Amino acid sequence: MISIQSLLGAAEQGLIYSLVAMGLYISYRVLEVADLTTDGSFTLGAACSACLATTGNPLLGLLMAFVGGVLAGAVTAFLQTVCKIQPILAGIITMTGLYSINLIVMGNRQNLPLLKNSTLFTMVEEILGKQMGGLVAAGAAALLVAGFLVWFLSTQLGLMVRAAGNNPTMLVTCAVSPAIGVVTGLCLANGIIALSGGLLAQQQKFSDSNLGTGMVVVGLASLIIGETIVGKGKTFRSVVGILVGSVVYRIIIALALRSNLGASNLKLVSAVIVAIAISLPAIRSAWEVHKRKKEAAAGA
Amino acid sequence: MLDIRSLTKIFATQPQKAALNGLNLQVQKGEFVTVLGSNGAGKSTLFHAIAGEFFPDEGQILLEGKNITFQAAHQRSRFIGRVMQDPMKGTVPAMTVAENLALAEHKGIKGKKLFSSITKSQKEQFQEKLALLGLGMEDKLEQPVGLLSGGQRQALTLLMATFQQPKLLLLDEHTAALDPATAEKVMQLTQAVIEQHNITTLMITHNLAHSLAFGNRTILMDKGKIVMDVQGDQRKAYTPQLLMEQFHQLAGEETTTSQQSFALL
Ligand SMILES: Nc1ncnc2c1ncn2[C@@H]1O[C@H](COP(=O)(O)OP(=O)(O)OP(=O)(O)O)[C@@H](O)[C@H]1O
Ligand SMILES: [Mg+2]
Repeated sequence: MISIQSLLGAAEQGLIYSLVAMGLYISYRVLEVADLTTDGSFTLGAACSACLATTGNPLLGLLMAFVGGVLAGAVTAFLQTVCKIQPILAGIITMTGLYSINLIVMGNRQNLPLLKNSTLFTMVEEILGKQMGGLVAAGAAALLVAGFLVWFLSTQLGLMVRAAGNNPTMLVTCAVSPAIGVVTGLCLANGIIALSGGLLAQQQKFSDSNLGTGMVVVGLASLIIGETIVGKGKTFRSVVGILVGSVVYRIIIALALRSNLGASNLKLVSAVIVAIAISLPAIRSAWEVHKRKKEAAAGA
Repeated sequence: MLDIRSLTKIFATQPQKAALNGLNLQVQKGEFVTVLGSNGAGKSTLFHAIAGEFFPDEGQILLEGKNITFQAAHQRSRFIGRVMQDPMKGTVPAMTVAENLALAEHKGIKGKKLFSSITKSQKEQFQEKLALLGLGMEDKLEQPVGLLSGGQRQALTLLMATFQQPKLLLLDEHTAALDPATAEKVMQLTQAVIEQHNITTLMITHNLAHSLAFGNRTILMDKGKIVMDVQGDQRKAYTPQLLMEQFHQLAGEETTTSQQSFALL
């Protein structure tokens, strides 16, 4: 039903996109805000990475993708903490502004192809061969970021990010401004998300100004699929879940592509997955109550 | 040590009534003041103002001669420890006991090693401190705080608030949400830690017996003001009954509702 070839392709893509889910883990799960900067910072990462790859500096491009994402996160954090704009709106404002910035980064073009340019992926493929090169590069990037995330969230600064999301009052009593946790978290989240965009641009050899559209939903879908399969718990478990969830999500998408759903309906599929997955707890408890009501009625 | 001068706060939602109405209070170093007053008297509002949760409309707050009236709340936390009534407020439920303690160990960000994880020796130190509480938390270092009981959480918050001796400790009905036995246990722990480090303390309570049994000064608040202040020999002569009578007299006509909240133990 699905070839090894497309399975490996899905794994490669899933590992690249897993960085989006890891970024959203920081903002959505740890900081407990829905950060819509994501769509813009993903595209920004792709633009930075593609732009520098065309000048022959693909690795610098990835670094700048990360830095660009951090800056985007800083803008959203500034809007949230200093200007006191609601988190969702703050993200939308940054994302909207980024649309123009991304076009500028790509030299006022809608898209930027990297046909003959060297990328991280062509570099690794030269060593390991076309078959495994891409997968290894994507896997290494994903594992590196995953390891970093697990470590970071256990450090003092990581604890501040976690406390800022879960109980900012406690952070105040520890003489730390919750803004520090919010800024750190949003910068890191968007840096990682932009790195994902940067990797994707180099892997598929082009960047596009609409690359990030709907990326929040894609990332959340992967995150939630992972939590459903692997379960929630400590950071380590969650991160493993994200890696699994992202690959599974890409396999679902590959299957959807092979069926007669068609590529244009992919976003709808993602949206439906996220809507169902997020409402699952509510549906489940409503069902429980319904069952117990029935039992009570039968008993009476 | 703590010097509060004509502190006034009027909330926009209740413009006709001042939550704090030109309140004056001087507290000496090492004093342990118990704070009484009926619901809505402004006790918590006073604590929030001291802790910096909002800025007063009028008046000043001085701590050790330094004017802290407009200092940000998180900056004051470096020398003001707090335990609130709600056991959920003082700790981060999603983090483990050890992680909560690690954040509270050093106040502010300057004292912290931002990029280091919790070390073994830190954990051993935490375990020693937790064992002193006698609530069996020394074996729960790796458990999320969300799984602890309310009493365990309050004891943990107390430990966190006094990890580095604060100049001033604010306790806002910190045993009110606990069952009588646990409340008694947490009160003993509180007493012990305050005496050990001689921490200047303000404690809000609705328990008249507690208000006399603990501390060395008792104040009564009503309508945003202090209407009674007893200490020294005068206070030694007080009984909960006498306090109750005074309370009715001074806290005015609205005492009918507050009577229920006053348990004579
Ligand atoms: N954040 C706020 N916004 C508006 N009004 C407030 C706020 N906080 C307190 N108040 C009002 O200020 C008054 C004093 O409240 P406060 O919480 O200080 O009372 P209290 O003495 O602590 O009472 P209790 O014994 O019930 O805890 C009340 O009338 C209350 O409604
Ligand atoms: Mg109160």
